[in-house]
Amino acid sequence: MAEAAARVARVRTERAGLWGSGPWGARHRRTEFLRVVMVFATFAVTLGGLHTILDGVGWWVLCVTLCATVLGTGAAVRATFSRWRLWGRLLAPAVSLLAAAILVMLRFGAGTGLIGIIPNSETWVRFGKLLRDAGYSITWQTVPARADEPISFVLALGVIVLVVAAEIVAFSLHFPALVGLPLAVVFLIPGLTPEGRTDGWFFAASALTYLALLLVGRRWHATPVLAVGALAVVSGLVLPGALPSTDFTVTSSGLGPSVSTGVNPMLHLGSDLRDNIKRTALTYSTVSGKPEYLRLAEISDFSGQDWGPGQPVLDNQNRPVAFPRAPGVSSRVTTAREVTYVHVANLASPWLPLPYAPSAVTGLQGSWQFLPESFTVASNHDLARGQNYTVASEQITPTPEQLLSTGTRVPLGLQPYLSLPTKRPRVIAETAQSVTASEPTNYEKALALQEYLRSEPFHYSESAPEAQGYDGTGVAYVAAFLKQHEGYCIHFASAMAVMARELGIPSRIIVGFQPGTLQSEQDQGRRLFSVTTKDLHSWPELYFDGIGWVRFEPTPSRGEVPAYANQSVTGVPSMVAPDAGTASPSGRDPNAGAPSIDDGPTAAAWLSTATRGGWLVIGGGLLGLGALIFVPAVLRVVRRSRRLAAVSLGHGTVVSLWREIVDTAQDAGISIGPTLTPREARARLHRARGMSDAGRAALDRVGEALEREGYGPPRVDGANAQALNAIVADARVVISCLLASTPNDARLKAFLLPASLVASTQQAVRRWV
Amino acid sequence: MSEARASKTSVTEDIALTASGATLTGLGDVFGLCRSIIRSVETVIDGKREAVELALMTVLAEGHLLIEDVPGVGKTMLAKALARSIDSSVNRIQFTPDLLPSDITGVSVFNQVTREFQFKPGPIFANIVIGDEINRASPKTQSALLESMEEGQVSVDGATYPLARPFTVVATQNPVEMEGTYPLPEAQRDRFMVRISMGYPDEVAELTMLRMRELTSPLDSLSPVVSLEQLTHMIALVRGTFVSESVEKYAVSIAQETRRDPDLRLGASPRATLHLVRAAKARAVLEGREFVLPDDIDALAVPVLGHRLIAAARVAGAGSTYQSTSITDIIQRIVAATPVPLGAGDRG
Repeated sequence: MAEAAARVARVRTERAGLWGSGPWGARHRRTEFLRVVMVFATFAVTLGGLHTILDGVGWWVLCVTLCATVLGTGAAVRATFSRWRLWGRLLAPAVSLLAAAILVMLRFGAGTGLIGIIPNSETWVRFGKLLRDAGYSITWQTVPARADEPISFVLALGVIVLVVAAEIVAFSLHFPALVGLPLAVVFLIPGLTPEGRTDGWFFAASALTYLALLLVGRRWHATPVLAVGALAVVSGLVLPGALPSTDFTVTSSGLGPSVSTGVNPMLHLGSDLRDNIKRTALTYSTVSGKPEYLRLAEISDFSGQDWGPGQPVLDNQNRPVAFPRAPGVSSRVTTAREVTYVHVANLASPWLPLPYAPSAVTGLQGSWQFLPESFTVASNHDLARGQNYTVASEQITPTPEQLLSTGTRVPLGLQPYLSLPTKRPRVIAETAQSVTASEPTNYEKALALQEYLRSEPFHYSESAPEAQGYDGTGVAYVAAFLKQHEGYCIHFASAMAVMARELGIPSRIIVGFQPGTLQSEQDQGRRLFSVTTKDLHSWPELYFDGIGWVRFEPTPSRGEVPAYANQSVTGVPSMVAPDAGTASPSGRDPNAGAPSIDDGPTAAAWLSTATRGGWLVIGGGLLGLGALIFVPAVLRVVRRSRRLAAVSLGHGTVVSLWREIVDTAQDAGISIGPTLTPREARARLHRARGMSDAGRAALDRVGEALEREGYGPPRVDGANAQALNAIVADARVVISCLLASTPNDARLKAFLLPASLVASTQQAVRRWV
Repeated sequence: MSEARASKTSVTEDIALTASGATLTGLGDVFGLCRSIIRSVETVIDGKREAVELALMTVLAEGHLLIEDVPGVGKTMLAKALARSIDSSVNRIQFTPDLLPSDITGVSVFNQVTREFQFKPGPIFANIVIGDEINRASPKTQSALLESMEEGQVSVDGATYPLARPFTVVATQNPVEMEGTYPLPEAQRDRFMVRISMGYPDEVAELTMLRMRELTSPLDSLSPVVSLEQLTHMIALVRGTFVSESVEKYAVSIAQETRRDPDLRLGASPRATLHLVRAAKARAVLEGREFVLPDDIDALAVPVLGHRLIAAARVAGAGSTYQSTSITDIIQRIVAATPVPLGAGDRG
């Protein structure tokens, strides 16, 4: 008895957690070590998934170092306090946080603070600046962003919070499964970033490491683990693509659906145009009543793969209340004064839509500055959303003669607008040369390029570039477009701008809005124009000496060709597209065949195709969802058939028949717990509502067979096929009686969501988690 | 009254059937004999079928029986009736505070003729030993039963004397709260396979008893139903009853749970598990089955484990070590919460 008492005491002691040197303690320590390693690995892999939004690897090394510091310190503290586990659990997160804070201090607060690790006022000022700069950096950088100092700082703080949270839930509270929550935060970041995408492989890998974390210290079965692993991999590859885009979100600001141009409007242009839903970006009216182009940003750097406006260097002196004279515009150039009243709807853009060339903007809220070269207006802090402002502008309307007189002169200082990547496909230069071979002046060359791009075989297509893999910016994409002859505004604008530079004409690409559609003839006495996401546009501007930057419109069926470039206007030199050998299909008047500012026939055709495709997708999706509803029912039927068939064929046992009966009873709302003996279960089933006398007799026969098979001596002669078939028949009778026992109001639920399937799933989840 | 007579007639027929001493061939014969014994005992103890069956199971499983209840409910009568129904040697020991160990085991006396010590066997040397009011004897005397109950032998003055086979102790005791009682030591309680409680008879049974015993004692008319040879055969058949691995695991699971349960200070011993399975075999035979079911384990968990477990102080109450009601509740709770394996290949 003394021995038994001692055993009881020992078990109680172990349960109370006073483990130390015994084999149980050693096993526990090993399990905890493995758990620490797996939490670290899971974070390392999941953080790696941020590579889709952050450039380089330095940020990852920093994050992983912080993870190792937090988790390693926590483990060390718990090991030190192994005899006082509660203290260990309480102190570990605090000490981990302190260790991580010291690391952050050494990394970001170097040169400040007392003895290098205790922050002082100077440190806080620096940290505050880093936080503020991080806001700017995140706003202005394109994805993948460079992990500069401010972004690294914010990332480090975020990682510390998440890993300390993981440390608390996994080791202080002993819920390692909850580590999934901070991991989910990391996983969601790319999805919440405009243009960010989730890397399916990293998702799958982090899911697998998370699964491994859950399995640490538990017995596991290979099949379910492999199944979950496979599910994780498949969902990792499928889910990111299936997740909705976060670019457009309906906001509660009362300004309608949000339209985001992001930092780089170029990146959004294609997707915005392809989006079937029109969202109002802004409305405007002009004193003259004429529609006009509105510029957002300028792209002049044609190097690299992702052309964009880049982060503007804004000078507080350049407030847009008064602009200088537009660059290059001499006094002899004819200009027309215009006043435009703009109301921006929910346009999430750090760039302000403005006509060219603005001379003054009034009524702006917030801090806005203009860029003296591009005459675009931007803000580091504010968005165009909700702004109401008035723009006074001097619209440059040179005559063909004035443009012809500029010849081929290019003033000094415009070199940046002439530079091209040294390595570029030859087809661009060759095409430019062949198209303009007979044109003597820059103006005529520009007209020839515009005419060439507006003529056959070029077509406006928003889908072709994406489908054929050249939907991007860069000289390689321009070359591909010149060969394929299909694209949308970006391609036409890029092609003309690049070819112009090939010919020595300074050029740049402007991203903005085409004039939009007339919404109202009389709105406070003026014509009101509405601009939507479908009006996002890009066009080239070419520089002519003494005249400045002049807009061209090479995109067929979009926008409006300016008078100085419209060959139907008297005085404008006539051009013939060399490749086609004939005039433009739209005749000498490029605007004649195009419905000026609305979607052209090609776009309309595309839209109708896309709409049809959209309905197909929606229909398919609904069908898929409908099919999903029946998945549990199908699984249940398959399981029943398999069990019954297996016994008939001699593979199964009466035990599996019995399980089927118990599951059916559960589906019918009769609970047969695992603690009931078959006889007790039989007694309960006898009382089922739909059970007939034949059903009861059949149930007894199945029950007796189960007892013989499950608890009786093994049969020497083996199973009798005939007897087995009889038992299967009995089981079918019982099952049909039980199905009839289901209450009428619960039949649909029993069919669509069988309780037995739910219970077995829950049981399986409990076993693994 | 007429029922009682009909029962008696049937018993007489049974006795006639079995007195020939025909060799038992299988389960059917044993099942029939068991029913005969039960009917025979029930002529004396009416309305206590469960207690009678448990008593018979204990004999068939070669265990020892502890009948516990307040005085006058028929404890000794049950023990005697069971003993008389079997044609075997029966001794009765009345335990009193001054009873000595040698009064049970026997004593070596000096033979003047042969001039050497000669062992004079005590009342323990019988097939069925009725220990009446066992908890009135001192712990020292109670302990004298230990060796004989477990090992089937007696050691006196360095010599070991084997006891008769089969050997069953049927002990009765008053509840420990009664005056002049010594609680049985845990080790001895553990040696009893089954503990049963008689309980008061219902109104009809009590009335029948009054009328039957008015003139004569029913024990006088009780004759043996089975011979010793038949009993030995029945015991062998019980021992050979099949127990599947899943049922064994189930019994072990219940025993393990009693060791883990926070409401219990002392869980079931491995001997308790052994007794549980043996008793379950006897129950299976008594029900005419050739294999044991989890239901047998369920039914016997309280009678087999109840007297061995000790509740935790907070459950039992201060100063008490023996609260059968709460122990019964705890065992029933454990049994109800232990999953029943469905047989070979079942993963629970």
